[in-house]
Amino acid sequence: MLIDLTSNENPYSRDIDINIKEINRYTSRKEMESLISKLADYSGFNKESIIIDYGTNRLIERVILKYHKNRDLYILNPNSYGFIGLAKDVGMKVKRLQLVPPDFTIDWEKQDINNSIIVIDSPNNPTGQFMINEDQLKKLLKNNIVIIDEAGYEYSSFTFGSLIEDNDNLCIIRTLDKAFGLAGLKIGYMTFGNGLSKCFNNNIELNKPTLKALEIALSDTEYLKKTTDKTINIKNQLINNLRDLEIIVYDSYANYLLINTEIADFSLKLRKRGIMIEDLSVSWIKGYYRITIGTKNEIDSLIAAIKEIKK
Amino acid sequence: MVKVGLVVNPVAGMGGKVGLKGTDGEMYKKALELGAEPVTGPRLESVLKLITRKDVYFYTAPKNMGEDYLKNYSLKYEVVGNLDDETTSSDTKRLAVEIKKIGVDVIVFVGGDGTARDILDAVKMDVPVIAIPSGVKMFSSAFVLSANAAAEMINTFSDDFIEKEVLDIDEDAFRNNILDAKYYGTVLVPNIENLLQGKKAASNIKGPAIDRKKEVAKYVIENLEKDCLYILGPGTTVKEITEALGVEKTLLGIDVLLNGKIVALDAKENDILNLIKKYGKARIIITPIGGSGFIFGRGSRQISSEVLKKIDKEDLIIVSTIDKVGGLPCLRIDSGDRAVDEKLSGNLEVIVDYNEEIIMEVKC
Repeated sequence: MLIDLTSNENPYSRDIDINIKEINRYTSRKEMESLISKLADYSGFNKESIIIDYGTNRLIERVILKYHKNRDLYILNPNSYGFIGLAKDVGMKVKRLQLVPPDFTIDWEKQDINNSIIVIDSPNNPTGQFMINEDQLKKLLKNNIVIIDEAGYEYSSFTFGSLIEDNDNLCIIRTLDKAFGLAGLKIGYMTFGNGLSKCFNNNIELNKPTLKALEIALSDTEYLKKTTDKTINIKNQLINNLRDLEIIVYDSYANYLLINTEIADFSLKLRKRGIMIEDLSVSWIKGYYRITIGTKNEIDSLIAAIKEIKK
Repeated sequence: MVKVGLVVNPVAGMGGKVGLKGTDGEMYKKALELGAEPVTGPRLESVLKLITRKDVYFYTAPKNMGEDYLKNYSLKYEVVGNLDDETTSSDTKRLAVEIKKIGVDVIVFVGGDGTARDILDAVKMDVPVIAIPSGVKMFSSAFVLSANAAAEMINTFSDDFIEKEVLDIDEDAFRNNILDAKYYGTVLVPNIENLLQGKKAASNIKGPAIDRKKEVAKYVIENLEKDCLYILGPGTTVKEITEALGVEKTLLGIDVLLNGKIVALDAKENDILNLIKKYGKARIIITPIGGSGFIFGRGSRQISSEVLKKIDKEDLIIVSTIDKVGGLPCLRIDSGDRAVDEKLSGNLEVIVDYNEEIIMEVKC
């Protein structure tokens, strides 16, 4: 059985039994409102400015569709976003900001970005680090729309949520894919400053099975807490284990680790041993890999495999 | 059956242990005098023992250029061509051509950057290759990083190939510890990168490289200005621009474009300076050298510091594909004139697709 440590998923199996009644009926407004209220309670975001959609890419695409005119789109490189094609289709110029070891920092002062849409993941994938601080963000927001992707919020416990009220051009996106263990549903939600409300006149209707599953998942805070704590503990342990094996490991606020090793074809050698990690050499800088924090057994297997490779 | 060609450069890598940094030309005799031993055999055998594919049939060069190693394994093969006892670079080319004529699906070769250039000369992009490094200089991105990767390619290849670069390293300079690499050509290698991608692949590697080069060319052409000289650097990304314009271009030289027509082919430094004097406004379209990221100061010396003195930073049009430039931490410049290098340093946008750029720092 292949151990897949590539996709930053929650490794703890989550089964939700849903009993759907009246599938012949559309999802009602009341059902949607009830779900949004639950999300507002959980996130602390204002329920009037929460929208929900099938995945982070779809949420970002809605901002792009409404505000692309005469704006460039800035993203960090590397990334695994799927909205770039749409941005180009509507005529935006896409500008990637290259992340470079060993610091992976962006000097925002030097970039001279104006009248653009900027997407920043926080913590960043794949580095696991924060790319921007509050002061830098406020400066960018003066004449840009900034979308902060907080997909890893539950692992980092850090949010820019408090800035929403005073910053019209800020969007914050979260996902239920990761810590909630619902990657198979692919549901994201977003909150936004007053200036952006025009692009979200209507919330979409989710289908009933999704809605039902979300309600159950949002009520079950035990799964969320237990698996998040486990992942953070295993991450800390893995950092030590990898450093003992002389692999360079970067500090991470997320549920994955960026590592660097000179072992040639590291991911291929792990693949031969039944373990997949994300090989960033293919799309980014040679020798860099991202490891999703799996279960203890999975991580033990990973360490055993690395020891064997290093023999 | 899949038909796999095999060509080994038996003297590649011999210079390494005796400190010669290469066995190009006659240097390998010196290596032998200094007590060097062949290293290609063990490299190849580490790959051969990992082959699990049952339907492989080898077409190998004779004797120590391939046949001798296959003998020890239960792999099916036949020998192609003849060989004298002493092998040279021309044997590599000649036998690669003979093997190509058989209609093999892929050619495995063992050697260094020099061998890679010989193979490229012989087979171009007509036959994909699997390049096993055994030289002293192996800077070309065409080379696999390990025996595992080479075996994986042989075991799994079908019809998915990607472009990789072959570089020309100045061996005399390298002996003096200067790495002077320039682009020599492009080969196709089996794509095993898909095997290593998770469910959410990076956004920058979708679609074949050739399509992205065409998009880059389209974008550059749409933005060409009238009465402006465009000094074109080497490589396939830049060549795609002239292909789309339907004009001639050298693959390795510097050519100059004006109003959609080539006004100088394979231009030297003086030709370029004279053209700038005559026409005034000039811009440079260039692609970074893979691996090192040099845009000026390595490879194309015709674009000298004297030429660069007449060019502003805004007049540099850097083109690449995102998979290539995204692998670089920075771009580099070393023109020999510090003031010029500093003028062109700092953040620069590299065009990687239609309407798409990556911002890279140029360091000197």
